[in-house]
Amino acid sequence: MHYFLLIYNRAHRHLQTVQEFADRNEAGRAYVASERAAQGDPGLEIVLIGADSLETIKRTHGQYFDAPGGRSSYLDAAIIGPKSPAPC
Amino acid sequence: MAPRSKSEINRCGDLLRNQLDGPDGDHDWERVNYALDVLGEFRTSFQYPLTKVTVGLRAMVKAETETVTVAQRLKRMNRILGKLQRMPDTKVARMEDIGGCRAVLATPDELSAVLRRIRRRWDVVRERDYITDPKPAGYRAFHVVVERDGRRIEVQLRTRGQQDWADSLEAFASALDLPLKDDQGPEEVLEFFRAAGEGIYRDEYDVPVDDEFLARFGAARAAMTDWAAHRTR
Repeated sequence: MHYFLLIYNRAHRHLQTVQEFADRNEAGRAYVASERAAQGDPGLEIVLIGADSLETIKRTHGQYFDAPGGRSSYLDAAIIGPKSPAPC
Repeated sequence: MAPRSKSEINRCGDLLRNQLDGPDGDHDWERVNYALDVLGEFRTSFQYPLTKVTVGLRAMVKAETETVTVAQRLKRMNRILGKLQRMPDTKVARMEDIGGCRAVLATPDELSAVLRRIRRRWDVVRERDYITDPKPAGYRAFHVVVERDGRRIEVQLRTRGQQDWADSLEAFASALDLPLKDDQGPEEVLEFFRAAGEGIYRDEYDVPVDDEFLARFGAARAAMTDWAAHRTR
């Protein structure tokens, strides 16, 4: 199992950072620290996801990646493209 | 560190609910930060039992299909706090979705097969069939709650179409800052997602698409497009 800490910038609709951890305790500590650092910033979504690979997470949590959904024509009207990338 | 009692965890949840309901200036930040630490510790205690359940779920999915799409997540703290605010009777120590894992299956048959395996091999605490009875915004999935090491873990089983629907709704809600995940928001948007969810369900479960449904979806899509064109944000 690999642990991925994702920081998603809602304002820019952009995955800002992805940090990978092999150790779940280290990942847990980083999760809490990142949430604390972003406390009060509603523009950031921080989530810790565990999976065998980042590719899997793209299929289980597609909302954090470009152009989620849209695979069904029923969802076409809900597609919102990414805004300009967030500054580094 | 000694584990916290459930009553202390619940007291911290109640404190955060009360503090966050009040104006910013009224916050006792020392107590808020202490309560956040306690809730953070409590959430971390789900990580190991959650990993055990996820590993078991992977094995069950692998027994049914070659493509294993399984992941786990610890609930975001702001989602925990939001739930406490929305649902005043909720106690943190009794929440069943702090640790959750998800399998995405290619077809309804695969989903049913994995569900049968879960029922055979695990003691299921609770089942929620949102496929038969979708949530108000149209969310569909099958949820199972199991317990490991004294922690309740939610297992979500979704078809590919149900996952695409959820991704789409969450991305839309996040981009436009709408509380759609809590089944709230403009009725035009909610009705669009309800109708889209039903269309995807009909496709995946071989339910005929009749004229009545097509008219409903067309109207919902037009209303959504109109709403999007005129929204102020």
